[in-house]
Amino acid sequence: MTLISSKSWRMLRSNRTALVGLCIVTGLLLGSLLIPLLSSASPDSQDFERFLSPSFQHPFGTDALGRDLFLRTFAGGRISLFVAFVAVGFSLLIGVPMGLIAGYAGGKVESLIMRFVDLMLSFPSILLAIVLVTAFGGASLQSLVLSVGIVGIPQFARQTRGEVLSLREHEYVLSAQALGFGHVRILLRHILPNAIAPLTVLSTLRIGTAVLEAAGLSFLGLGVEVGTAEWGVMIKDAREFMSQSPWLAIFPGLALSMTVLGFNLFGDGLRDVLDPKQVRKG
Amino acid sequence: MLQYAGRRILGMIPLLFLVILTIFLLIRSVPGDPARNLLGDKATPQEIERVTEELGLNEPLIVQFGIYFSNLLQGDLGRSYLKDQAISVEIGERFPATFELATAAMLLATFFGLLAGILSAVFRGKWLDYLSMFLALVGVSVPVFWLGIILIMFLGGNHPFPSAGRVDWGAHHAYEPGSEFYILDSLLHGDFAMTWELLRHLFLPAIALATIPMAVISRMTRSSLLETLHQDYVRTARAKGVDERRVVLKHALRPALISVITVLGLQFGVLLAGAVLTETVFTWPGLGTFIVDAVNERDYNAVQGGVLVIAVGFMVCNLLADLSYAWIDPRVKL
Repeated sequence: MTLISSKSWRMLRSNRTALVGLCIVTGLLLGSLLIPLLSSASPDSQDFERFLSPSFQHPFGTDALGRDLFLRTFAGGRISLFVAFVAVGFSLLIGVPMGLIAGYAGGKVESLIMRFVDLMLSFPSILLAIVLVTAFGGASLQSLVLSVGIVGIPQFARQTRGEVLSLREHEYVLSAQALGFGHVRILLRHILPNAIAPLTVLSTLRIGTAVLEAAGLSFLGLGVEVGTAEWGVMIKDAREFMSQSPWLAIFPGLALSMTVLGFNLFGDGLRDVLDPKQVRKG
Repeated sequence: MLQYAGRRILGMIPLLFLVILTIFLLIRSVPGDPARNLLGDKATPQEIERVTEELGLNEPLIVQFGIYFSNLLQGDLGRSYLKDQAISVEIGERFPATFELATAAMLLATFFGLLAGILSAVFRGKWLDYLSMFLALVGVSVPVFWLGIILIMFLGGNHPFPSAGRVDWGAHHAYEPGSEFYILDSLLHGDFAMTWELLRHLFLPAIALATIPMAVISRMTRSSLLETLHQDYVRTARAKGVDERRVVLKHALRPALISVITVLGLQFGVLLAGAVLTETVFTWPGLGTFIVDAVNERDYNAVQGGVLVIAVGFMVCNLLADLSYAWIDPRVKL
């Protein structure tokens, strides 16, 4: 990989924060991909006795419909991670070009784009997500992904613009301009590659937030369908049986917290390695 | 300073207009016929036509917005069709609940965030630093709604802390509440038993809501205090033989607080919105539950009103944060 040079890779390995984060993230990814595949039962099959306490057969117990919670928790990771990755991909796809154009073009184009970014940032993110889900016709996987994705756009646009503003004054960019290269080529070949490191850090941290937002929306009944093996939905359903079977809420919540913690640790560590100068965002 | 403040406030007006327009357009773009959404699938065409006319939905979009906006300027947020009452009335009842909750959470977050941040900076690289920074990281990673449920499991029930609602009116009735700001009201009436009752209800949701700002504040305090602790004048103070406590709390902390205070303003705005999840967990009758219920009942006028109020509160908090920054630190006069 060109992004992480061998030197960075060595630094990353010596950075304990990043390493712990990477382990958590990898473990959860593998677990949520493999465990539902390897198991003979389906996470949705209601084959077992209801409300079983955690045991050897059912490490996390079973839920109100007799489904295995261990399987459901890992299957839930698939949805949360899928939503988060696709949503962050979407934010990147829209936000980065916005930032590139704003930073490079300057003038009216810049102020128009940044006004739009300001407008989006005048909404608290969870609130904006709620309104967007509503506008997209209510709870569904598509509106969840789109909403979480849109909410992330302004951060990427801002960060990219900031990078472009500082990079475009560099001599190698000026000489590329002097050589008569086109704007698109300068942006994509000369500026963007140098902005990739900070964008990687931001994406990593943003995935953690996106997981949280998606689960929060599902918890409010504005995310994936009722009954889906998804952490927010599972926690919402577990509220009813809080005193009777506390593990129904505890395990999905732990998985959710670990995921977010993993991405935050990894993102923090990546930042230390990739761009030590950058200041923490609030 | 006044000039700067005036310019910032004036500058907010176009943005505010765009926010109002955006919310209006997003709500109007909800798929399906609004009147049918409101009445359900069993409505007859005549009923739908009547409601469409009543709500002015047969007018062109721009006329609808014009009417909405001019009503808004007079403080009229429209009517909740389902509850048949003015939305501003219900928001007036709900806002104090959210405000009390957010304020309590902010107080907790500020106190413990500052404490953890100062200890971290002073004992940099020691276990206390690692512990509080680890807790800060956990604080931003744990979902608020899950933490709320866990708190209810371990501390909830009626003893010692109730896990739902603001107050149990049946239990206590020393006076007629004069306003929706219950805590302030009980203090004004000198009914401290009532104040205690209210605080007991407030305790768990405030803790759940406080975790994220607490984490942010402690990180911010730590990093800006570490910066000022390395300044020349702090070294001079130490060289003069000033007591270490005084060096930290007086010489280093005061300038470090400038950036922390800005964060406080921003976080309060975030709290107003973050209350959506916390309120749902603790069935707190605030703006958050108001919006979520309205979304689920497809009462789109109510959604529009609630979202607008929180968005405006959020913008005002951001503005105050900026202004306080310019006020405290004369160097940032723009």
